[in-house]
Amino acid sequence: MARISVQYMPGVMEATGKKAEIVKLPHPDLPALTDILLTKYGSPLKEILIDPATGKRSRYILVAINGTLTHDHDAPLQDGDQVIFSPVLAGG
Amino acid sequence: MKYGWTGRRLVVDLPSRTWSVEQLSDELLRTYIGGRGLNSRTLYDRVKPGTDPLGPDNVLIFGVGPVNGTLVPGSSRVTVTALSPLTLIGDGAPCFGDSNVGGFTGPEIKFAGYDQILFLGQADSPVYLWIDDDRVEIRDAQHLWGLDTWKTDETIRRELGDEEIKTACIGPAGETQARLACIMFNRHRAAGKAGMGAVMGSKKLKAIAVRGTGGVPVARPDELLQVVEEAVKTLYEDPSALAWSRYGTPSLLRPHQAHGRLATLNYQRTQFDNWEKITADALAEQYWTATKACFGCPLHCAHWFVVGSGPYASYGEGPEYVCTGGFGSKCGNDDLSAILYCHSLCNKLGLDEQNTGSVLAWAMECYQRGLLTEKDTDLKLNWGNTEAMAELIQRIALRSDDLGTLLAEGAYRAAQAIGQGSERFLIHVKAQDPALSDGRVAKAWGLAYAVASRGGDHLRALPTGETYFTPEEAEEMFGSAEAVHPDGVKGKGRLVKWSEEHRAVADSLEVCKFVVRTSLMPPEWVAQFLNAVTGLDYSGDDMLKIGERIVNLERAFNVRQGLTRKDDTLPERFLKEPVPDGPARGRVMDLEPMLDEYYEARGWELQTGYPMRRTLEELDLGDIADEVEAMGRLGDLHIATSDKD
Repeated sequence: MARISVQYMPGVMEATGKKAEIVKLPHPDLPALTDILLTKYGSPLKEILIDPATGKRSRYILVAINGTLTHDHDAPLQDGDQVIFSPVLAGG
Repeated sequence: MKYGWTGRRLVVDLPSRTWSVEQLSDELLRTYIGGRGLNSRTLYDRVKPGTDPLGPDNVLIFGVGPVNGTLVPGSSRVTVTALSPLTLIGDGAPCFGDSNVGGFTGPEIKFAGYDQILFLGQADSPVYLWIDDDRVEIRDAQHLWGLDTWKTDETIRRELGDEEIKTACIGPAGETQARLACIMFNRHRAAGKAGMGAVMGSKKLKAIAVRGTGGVPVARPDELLQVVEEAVKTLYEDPSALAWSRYGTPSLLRPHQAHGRLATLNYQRTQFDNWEKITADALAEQYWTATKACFGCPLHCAHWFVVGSGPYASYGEGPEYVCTGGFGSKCGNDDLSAILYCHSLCNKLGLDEQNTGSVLAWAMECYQRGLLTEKDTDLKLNWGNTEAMAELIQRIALRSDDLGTLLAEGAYRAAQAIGQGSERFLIHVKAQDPALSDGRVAKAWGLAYAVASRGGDHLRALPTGETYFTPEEAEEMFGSAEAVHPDGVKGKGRLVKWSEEHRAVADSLEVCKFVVRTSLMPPEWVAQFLNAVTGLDYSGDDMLKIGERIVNLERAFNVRQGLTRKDDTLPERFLKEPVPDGPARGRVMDLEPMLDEYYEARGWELQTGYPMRRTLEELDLGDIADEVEAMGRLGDLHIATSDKD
């Protein structure tokens, strides 16, 4: 069972009600993680994460694994990885 | 023009205390749109090489755009332009300068009937400008000189008897011509970049007060309603809109920490140990009491704070991320109440907090390394010493002692004076602090800092597309999927070029970049706003071409001042010191290949960075090509990288 550290940035953490948590995954990859989170947090998170037109991850949501952004929606994960869900937040 | 623009420029001659109104030609407005673009053309035409930025021959320009004061979301902005007393290029010449600000003053200038206000010369004693629609007065301001920005605003509105008056004024920092001085709009919104407050102080212009009761004629109101409705719906589909509206720009601190690009201890590190004490959610839990919006903005990213008691009791609007990071992690400070106090101090004294945070962090690293001591400074400038930070801010604004006077010159000039290797950890581009995203980690941002026309700056390009576009889109738009890869090189130059042009247009319509960056609103959207208001028929490509014209115009201004490729660089720390730890560990910025691609995409000579004639002529800037050619500064060969010196 892989333990994944998940962080939610402003704009996402409102849907989860928390800023971070540890999620355990038997088959660690991004789709499995997303499925578990959508089951846990339901429609508030789904409205943010999923594009209703395509049923896939919304382009307004960025995912980073261990601090590096990934465009691979099926990226594999490993025990101890950190995954960040964030809107496009940049600037100053 | 019947719609959008007023077609009027108010020209104020300060030495004679007279004013006049000039008509702006339709061609000029169509070519440069307004705001930043029109201001840049005015600066190019009026200020020649050799001008002292704090002397009588510099001009000071306030410009608004055609959609200011309409239903277009975020149409609140105004650009202030002058030759900068802060930034430096070439052999020490001043650089192009401007600063863009929101709030309510921009639309008020428009309602009063002006697209631009141009100040010439210097008054012989303090004055302020009072605009009441067509009635204009240049009034004595002796009684305001020495007041902070809040008291100035209050006094003006009281003596003119109208609470609805909008103001822009300088504080003591502008009066002492501190190069870090800003202009404060209605107390809380700052035109901070490039030392515009010092220029205003040099002209003995304490304030502008404006009351306008006119409207903005809209050519196609039904179309505007429809475009705005769709735009707002699109904005709200992006969860970043929720982040902005709830937390404002301080929401950026958390992801910057998570990705390891948070300016910490003057960029010696890119993560801050006590970061959780200075986040936006900490602000919301402890100090924010309300949200606020600029004119016509659906994002309402501003907040009202109150620190009710303690040594740092204060209140006001804000802060922004440049403040929580700049007076927080960058200075090793985790006391949020002290950050808010420093923010409030800067606003009242009229100091730009980004460049002030930068000079404090540099001074603290000097102290860490023994280059500044308690004996030199009468202060313990150890990391996180909030008392020393607050004290130093006042000394800088008032130039009240040798150290304050030195730091009021900005970090670059201070490092030149102190020497002893302190230049090596100076964080600047063209003598201005860039921003708080580490240029080693966010590489398109690093490139954008290096080439920004007003010196170190993240807002000229604001290349959010580096994270937003898909690899497939990047391949199509910028020639390489690497453009959106964190460690990529190819495509970044073209991405920054596209971003700069898009932002230049937003700045010229005077629409907030937060609006056009949310949902990555494309140039076609911006064209729809402009077309509905003015009745013209620009395309998205037309918008980008106008943006390209403005970028090249500002480039030509700087080339005329002496800029060459060697000025388009980054702090030594970004280029040579790998990030020591965190998710970005080991990263440095390999700038030159990106710069080559950027120059090639721009049609600028690789060796010098000079625009080529073909480039300028294609943008209807043939007159400028003639002028820089006469100076021997026209790029005429596409010199390959391998042929460079």
